[in-house]
Amino acid sequence: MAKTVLIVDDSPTLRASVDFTLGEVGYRVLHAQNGKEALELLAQFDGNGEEIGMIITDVNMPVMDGISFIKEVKRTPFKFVPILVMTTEAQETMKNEGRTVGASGWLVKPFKPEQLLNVVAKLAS
Amino acid sequence: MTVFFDSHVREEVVNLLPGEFGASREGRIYSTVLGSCVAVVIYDAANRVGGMNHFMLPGAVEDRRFYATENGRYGMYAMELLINAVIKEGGERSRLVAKVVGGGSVLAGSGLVSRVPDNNVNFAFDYLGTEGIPVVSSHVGGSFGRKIYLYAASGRVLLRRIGKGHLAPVAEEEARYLARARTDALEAEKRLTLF
Repeated sequence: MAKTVLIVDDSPTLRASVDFTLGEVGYRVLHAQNGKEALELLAQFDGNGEEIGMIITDVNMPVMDGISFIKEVKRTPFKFVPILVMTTEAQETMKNEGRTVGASGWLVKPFKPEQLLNVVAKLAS
Repeated sequence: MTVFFDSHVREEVVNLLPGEFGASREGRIYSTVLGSCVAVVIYDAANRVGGMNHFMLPGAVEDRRFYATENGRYGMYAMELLINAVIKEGGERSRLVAKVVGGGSVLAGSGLVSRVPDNNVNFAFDYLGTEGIPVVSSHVGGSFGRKIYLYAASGRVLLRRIGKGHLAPVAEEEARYLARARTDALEAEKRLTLF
C-alpha cells in the first residue's frame, strides 16, 4: 500500500508542489492548512503508524504554528511518526527549538525536489 | 539593502537590490530598480503594513510541473519570504493584496534569456492567483526598465520608466543576480539537518 504523507502548510502552492513531487513516485499526500486542521485530520486515523508514514510541516502558519503542532502531535498516538520541518527559517535557534520539541529533520527552502524525495524515503521507511 | 535620503521623494528610502525583500509597519518607503526582474508588492492597508521583493527565476517556466521544479521553488521562496515578513509585521493574511511590477525586456540575448521577463511576470500572477492574493494593479512588460517607490503603509507605488540609454547598469546588476540565483539553487545540499 502506498505510504501516506501529511503536508501541513498554509500555502496552497507549496502543498501542490509537495503533492506533485511525492505523488509522482507513488506517495499519497494529505493536506492541512495549519496545525489545528492537521490535528483534526490525524484524529480520524488510528495512529498505529501504518496509515500516516510521515508528517511535513511549515513553521509560520496562522491558527496553530508548526512548533506548537509538533508539541501537540507528541501527545497523541502519532508521537512516533517522523516529522520533517520545511521552512524558510534557517536560524540555529529555530532549528534547536524544532529538535527540542521532537522534529526528525529540518529542511530549509528552497531545496531540490530530489532532496525532498530522498529525505522522505529515509524518514518514512 | 541600503538606506539613504532620496532627493526625489525627500525622505529616507530603503533601496532593495535583486534578491532582497523588505517589509515594515513604520511607514517606510522602499525603492528598487527593475529591468527583467519582477517586484511584487504585498500590503494590508487596514493594518498599514506592506513590503516588496525583487526577484527573477533562475530558469525556464514550462508546464504543469512548474511548482515542483527548482525554478518554481525559487520563486515560491522569494514570495514566501515576503509574505511571512508582512505577516510578522502585523499584516493579516486574509487582507493582503498585491501589485506586480517589472518584467521589461532589457537583458540582451535570445532563447531562454528572451523569455525571462515573461516567465517572471507569469510566475508572479500564477502564484498570487493560487494563493488567493488579489492583484489590484500591475505595470509589466515593455522594453524599458522601471524605478519604483513603495509607501509600505498605504501600498501606494510611484513608478518612473527608465529608457534604453540608462539600462546598462540595471541589466548588469540583474545578470549578476541571475548567476548567483542559479548557484544558490544548486547549493541545496547544505539545507537539510537531520536530528
